[in-house]
Amino acid sequence: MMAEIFKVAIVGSGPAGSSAAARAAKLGMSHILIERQDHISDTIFKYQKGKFVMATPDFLPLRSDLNFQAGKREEILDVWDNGLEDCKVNVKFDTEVTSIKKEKNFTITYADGKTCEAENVILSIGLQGNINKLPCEGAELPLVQYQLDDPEEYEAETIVIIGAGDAAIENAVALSKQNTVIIVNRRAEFARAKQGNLSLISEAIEKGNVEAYYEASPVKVEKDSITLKTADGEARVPCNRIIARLGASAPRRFVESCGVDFPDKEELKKDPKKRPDPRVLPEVSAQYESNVPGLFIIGALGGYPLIKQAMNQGYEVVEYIGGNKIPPADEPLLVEKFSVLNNQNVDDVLETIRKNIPIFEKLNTLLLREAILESNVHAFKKDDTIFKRNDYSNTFYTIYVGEVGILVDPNDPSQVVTLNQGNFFGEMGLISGRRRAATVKAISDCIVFETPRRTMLKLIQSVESVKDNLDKVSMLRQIQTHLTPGVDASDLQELIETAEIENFSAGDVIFNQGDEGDHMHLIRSGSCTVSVKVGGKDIVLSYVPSGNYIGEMALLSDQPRSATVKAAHNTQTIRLTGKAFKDVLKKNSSIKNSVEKKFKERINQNEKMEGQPEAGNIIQFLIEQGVGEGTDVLLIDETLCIHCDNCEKACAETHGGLSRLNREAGPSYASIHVPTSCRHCEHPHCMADCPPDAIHRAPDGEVFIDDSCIGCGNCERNCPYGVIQLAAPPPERFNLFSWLLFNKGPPPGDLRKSTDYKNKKKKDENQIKQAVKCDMCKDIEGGASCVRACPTGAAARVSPEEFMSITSLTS
Amino acid sequence: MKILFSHITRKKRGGIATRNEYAEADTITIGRSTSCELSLLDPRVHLEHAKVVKKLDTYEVIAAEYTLIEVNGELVDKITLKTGDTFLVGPYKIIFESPSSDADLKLSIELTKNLRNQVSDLISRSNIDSSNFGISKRTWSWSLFSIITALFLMIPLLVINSSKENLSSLDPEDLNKSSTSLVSVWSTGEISSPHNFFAHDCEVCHEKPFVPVQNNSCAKCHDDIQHHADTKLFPSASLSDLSCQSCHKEHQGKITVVKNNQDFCASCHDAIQDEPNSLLRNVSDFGKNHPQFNPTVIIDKDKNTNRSLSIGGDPKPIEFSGLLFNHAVHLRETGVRHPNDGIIDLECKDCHVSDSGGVSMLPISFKEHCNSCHKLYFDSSLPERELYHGDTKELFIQVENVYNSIAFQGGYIGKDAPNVIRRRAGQTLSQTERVEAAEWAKRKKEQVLDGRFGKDRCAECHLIKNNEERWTIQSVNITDSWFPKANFTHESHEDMECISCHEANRSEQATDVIQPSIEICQSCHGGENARSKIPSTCVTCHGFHFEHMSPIYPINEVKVKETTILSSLSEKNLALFNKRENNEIP
Amino acid sequence: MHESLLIYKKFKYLKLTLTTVILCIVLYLYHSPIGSPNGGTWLGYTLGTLAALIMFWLAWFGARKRSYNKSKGNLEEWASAHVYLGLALVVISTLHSGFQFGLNIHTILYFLMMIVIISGIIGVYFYLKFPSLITKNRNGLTTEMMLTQITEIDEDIRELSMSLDDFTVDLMTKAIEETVIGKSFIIKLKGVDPDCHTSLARKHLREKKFSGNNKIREQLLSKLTRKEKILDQLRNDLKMRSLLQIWLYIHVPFTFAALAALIIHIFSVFYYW
Repeated sequence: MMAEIFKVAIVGSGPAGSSAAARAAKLGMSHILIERQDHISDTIFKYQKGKFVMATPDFLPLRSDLNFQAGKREEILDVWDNGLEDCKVNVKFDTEVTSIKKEKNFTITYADGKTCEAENVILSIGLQGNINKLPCEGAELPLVQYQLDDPEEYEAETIVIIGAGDAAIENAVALSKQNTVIIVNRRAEFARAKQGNLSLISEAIEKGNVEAYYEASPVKVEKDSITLKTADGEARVPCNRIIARLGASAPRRFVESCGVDFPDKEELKKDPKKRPDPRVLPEVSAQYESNVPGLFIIGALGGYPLIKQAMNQGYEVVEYIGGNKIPPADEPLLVEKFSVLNNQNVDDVLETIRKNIPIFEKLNTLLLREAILESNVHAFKKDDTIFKRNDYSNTFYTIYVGEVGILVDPNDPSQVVTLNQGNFFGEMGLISGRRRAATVKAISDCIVFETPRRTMLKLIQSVESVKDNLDKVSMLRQIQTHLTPGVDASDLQELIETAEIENFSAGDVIFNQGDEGDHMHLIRSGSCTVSVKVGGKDIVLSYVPSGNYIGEMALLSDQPRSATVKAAHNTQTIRLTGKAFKDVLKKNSSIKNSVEKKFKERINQNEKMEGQPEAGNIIQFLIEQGVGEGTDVLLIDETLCIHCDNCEKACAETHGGLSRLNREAGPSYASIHVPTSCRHCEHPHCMADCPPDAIHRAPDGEVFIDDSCIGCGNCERNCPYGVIQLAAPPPERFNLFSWLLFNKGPPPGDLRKSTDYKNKKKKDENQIKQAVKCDMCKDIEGGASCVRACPTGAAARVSPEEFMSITSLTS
Repeated sequence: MKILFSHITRKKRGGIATRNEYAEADTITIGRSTSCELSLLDPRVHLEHAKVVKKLDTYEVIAAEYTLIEVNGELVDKITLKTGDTFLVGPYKIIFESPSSDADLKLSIELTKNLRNQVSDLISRSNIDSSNFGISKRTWSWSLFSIITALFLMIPLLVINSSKENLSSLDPEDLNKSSTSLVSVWSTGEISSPHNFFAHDCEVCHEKPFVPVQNNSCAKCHDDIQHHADTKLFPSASLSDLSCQSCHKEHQGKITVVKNNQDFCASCHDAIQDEPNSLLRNVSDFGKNHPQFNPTVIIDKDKNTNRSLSIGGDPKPIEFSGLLFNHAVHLRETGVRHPNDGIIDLECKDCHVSDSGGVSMLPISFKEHCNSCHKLYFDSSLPERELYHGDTKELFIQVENVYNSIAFQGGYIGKDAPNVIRRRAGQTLSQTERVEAAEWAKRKKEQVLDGRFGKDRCAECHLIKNNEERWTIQSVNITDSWFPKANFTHESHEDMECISCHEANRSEQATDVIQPSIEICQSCHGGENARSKIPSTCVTCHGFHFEHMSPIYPINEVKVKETTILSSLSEKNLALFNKRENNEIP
Repeated sequence: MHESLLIYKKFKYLKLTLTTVILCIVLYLYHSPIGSPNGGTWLGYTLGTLAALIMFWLAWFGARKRSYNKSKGNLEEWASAHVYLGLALVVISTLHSGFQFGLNIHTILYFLMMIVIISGIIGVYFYLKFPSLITKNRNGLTTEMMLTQITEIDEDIRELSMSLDDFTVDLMTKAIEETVIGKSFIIKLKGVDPDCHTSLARKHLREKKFSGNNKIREQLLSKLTRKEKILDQLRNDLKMRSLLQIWLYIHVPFTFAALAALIIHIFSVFYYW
């Protein structure tokens, strides 16, 4: 039986697919929209109830037959449902596509074995993949669900959670507040979970908030119970709800089965043991066409995770299939961006960029457009300052036209390194996560692109050439800045050519005491500790932050390594060969002198520290607590701390009633206590995966979350120090005196403990939660309120560079 | 007998897990001991708790010694049960189930009450909150605040209010002492003893709340208070902007409200010379800076004007008392001859007796102090008859009368007298005899009064004025008060020798002013802050409010007595004063 | 960086206080009022006003401490000034009184204020002494960890005792279920519980004739000893933390009392001016 041949078949009814289908319907194109679920846009459908969906990026115009505005999940879905109906889109629900084969046309096979044919296929299946179902009888019963919107939606129910992963644990802990929760773990322990979740679930089980069945698996689900096979025999557990969190299988295999190549295909072939990186996406053309002609990939799978972008793509790809090659929706934006370039044609400018700026050379048009779109185009006049030394900005600059100068020496403004057209700068802040190492000024009138850190990181991750180019140039620069100031690049030829970038994880040994010293390292990012073994015990001698070199002592003295150097956390170094370095020193006596001076200083420092092992232990302790990768850490001197919790109360009071620090929690050593509070890491873990890009670094280094937070919780999970929480906006403030004198209203610093608050919270169940963390009180005059509120001076904020002063104080 | 033990574990509102165990025994012992068939590891179960014996269709459960089992809420030591029945061993519920195919007896065992041992239990029965002491600081604070306010604000205010209402009907004497003592907590100190008699009645002085004590309150009693200086002459020294309170501090203890700090006086008087109209000399400290004493002496014997002159100054102060007196002679160490008693030693106090208050000396009277030695005999034929002392006119009349009466009565014994005079008294006289007698009397009178005798006898002590007609006696003006502006009490100095201050034993002239110089006082007295001497302040000798000074507040108009002012002027100042009087100084 | 509030900014407020106090003493010695020195002279009013202002300011500390986001500056600075100006009050108010004392509200105010100051001095002493002792005593453990350890030991004790006679089991159950920390106000502050069930159980076990397995008895004894040690540690911790708080139960209420007395003092003095 031959099915109808569609002009286009759209697989997946997310924002991209729905938008494409709506366009096809509008154009009168024969089409089919195939959706696995019985509703459209499952990912958004499964957002927690009432969740507010953002419409970012704000500047991008929407180009779709479906409407989309920031709003509640329900409203948006309603609009789309109605839109699809109005356009008379041909939707096929409850249909899972199992294969797509290309011959002349595409043959699409459904799970039930039926097929259909189409000339073009638009894959808009997103990244969620297929959720694994309960492997037992009754898995489809209504009491079984596979995800959890809002834990607070359920009350006084008995809920069985199946699974032992992070999602299962998080659900279990969250639900246990007002429900009876039973977690079913196939194994004897929670091995798969993150450390943080492990302790959460252990605590919950210990306290009896969650009951755990170990080595148990589901046997049968009935309408009001689940039967488990346990070590004690079979147990029937009556319950109101079963939540199965058994993971999902990624869509990659399916996409590959359609013939689509992933860029890391070759790599994976070489190393069959390596698991594919879920972040790697298939390559597509400017028109979103994959290597299989006629197969288009849009939406998250096509690299556009944002709803608006995806909807635009859907529109554009259908227009393209229909023969109308319309410019992308961002065209007018680019035109505006390029207005400083005397209104040149966008394509010409992009071509020029690709030709003149080597780092962007290999970018495909899609990526380049996006990168430029997210960048700012600045026209600087001669002598304008672009950024200043010690600024805490971390954007990346490329020179489109003109020259800029880097003021290498803060004390001598005449020392200027000139960069011409096509060069980039500002990469050091990007790499090290530290303050700007030099001031940069425009030498002539110039036009530069300022690309945000996030965009650059994305490019570095996804485009090899960007990374290579960046590494090579930045290596030279870093050597020039930190090791051999004033030496011409040509003299460093050999040094650069033999240099290598090395990566170390926390605790990795960079070199060992007693090793032969034939090379040295320049720390690019991260930091290290230097320690010696005395009496079989490691004694930390010093902490070396990025921008410094290590290993020169053995090189200069031609003796084995006098100390062991370990990475304090994720650290990247430039490994320099000894011979090449010595050659450079031979030619430059001033550098030799400065290196030797540092060498002597270090010997002195080491001798001093060996005399006071306690100080070294403190450094070691602080580094273990993640202080090493922080830029500003709250420390409490326990010889002064009177346990009044005023710091916590002050924090709560300045931040809407919820303290972002926990004084009592966190470890202590030698009377230094590291409370649970944000370290403002050099490379903030929380920033790594923030969908709305709400986490920023303020000019003074504070890492903060802005209002665009959508409450996804990624940062909370990513923070290794557990300093981020999700919280609803605070209740109103009360007068201090009404509490102080008459005990009316909540006590300061305890807003959320008050009954007023709890009652209010009940009413506003639909409020969106947002991530909150320490922002070092950046908007408050006078500095961090935790420190200011300490009556005894026990609390202080320190940067890693200040370790030495603390250790000397306590010793 | 084959037994199936089915251990039931009921998960929290969740499922039921069962663990089966088989055993073979005739009697089932139940207990904590592992040797029991049914070993229940729980401290609430005894080591050996009970045993079950099968009896046909029923089972007998027997508790061990000292133990009991529970059936239907009752504690028993033995019971017979059948299938389906339940009993409790400690916290365990044991049910006789109907036997299954593989066992003769099936017992379901379920723990009904879990052991309490969790951190939360420990926390809930403990009190590990370091700031929880059972009472809130707030309660405790407000309590103290209220107690203090009630005791020390509310009660005094109530008492004040009620006493105000009752004041009209009650005599202050009747005021409830206990209620006033409640107000006394507001008192800042003890009331001085002079004022103590009305101390219980705050309103006597504090007439209106929140208004400082007014002078009128003081003037209710002290209505004759004087000015310290003439405010017309010394406007800058006017103290009229000060209240009584600014000097007289009450509530500072029992002793006194009069203040005697010398600085208080010195603040004006240490530069008083510079005052435009001032005739006074600077003084600041008795020991260190005080002018020499200026006794006020009579300088003009006729006009009886007096002035003060400095002791040891030039001119020396000389007193014109109109008397002649040699202190030295009278105080001779060898004594003086008494007409009757022979040689006697005279002492100062024989003549100078202080008044009852001990402040000044009583006047010397001739009769009392001089007459016993200095008899005023005038006619040896008339022993015991003395001249009248006091007024010369009276004296003349007396002498005339004496001789006249002799002349008429006779009996005179003088040899030189005519017989008519010497006749026996009582004889009547003839005309000629009468004439003769009258002439004798006249002659005799003139003999006494005009002759050397009268003059000499009076001039022993008195200055004699020779008038054309007849001599008269210079009037006597003895200085009443040498230092009218200073107080001195002899009483407090009575242990001292008079001559240690008054050098009377060396004074041979009545004109000598034998008042001590300041150095003599200073040998014992110093200024207020003197350490090795008796500290003496200004008010030790000087007063502030005096009657002879103008009133400090015009309560009673008291005229300024010019003479008084004059009397207090030194020579230099007198000149100044005169100039001013003559309008030579504007 | 970490400097105690006493040495804050190189004794900035100690210097300020000393200057003020010395100035007051010099003025006091210099001024020679009519009558004896007291609150009613010009200096008396000056010192009185100063002392009253300082008292209100010191009392404001309770509010300042809690107004976290409204006030700028550093609480340590305030605390430092609070301590030193509080001490200055001893001198200033004594000079204000002119050493005149009696049975009246004015002297009551003086003594209430002295109670507040003395309790404050004790508080400062506690603040300096206990933090490091608490850290030392805790030895790296938090309260929760100690409590957990206790319950873990309890579990062991329960298991070990299971095979023993009923009397011993009762004893152990008591030790487990009836051991209390911070039983009463006094015990909390003493840090020692004379009737601690754990100690009693250990004593009994050691002294009583024991019929059962001696090895288990030894084990039990060692567990009980260990538990006692942690209990001691915990009670000591609670004691020190309580002492850090307890002085405030004098300091704050007496501040209120002193404020009441101060208001009455001012009122009464001007009522009967």
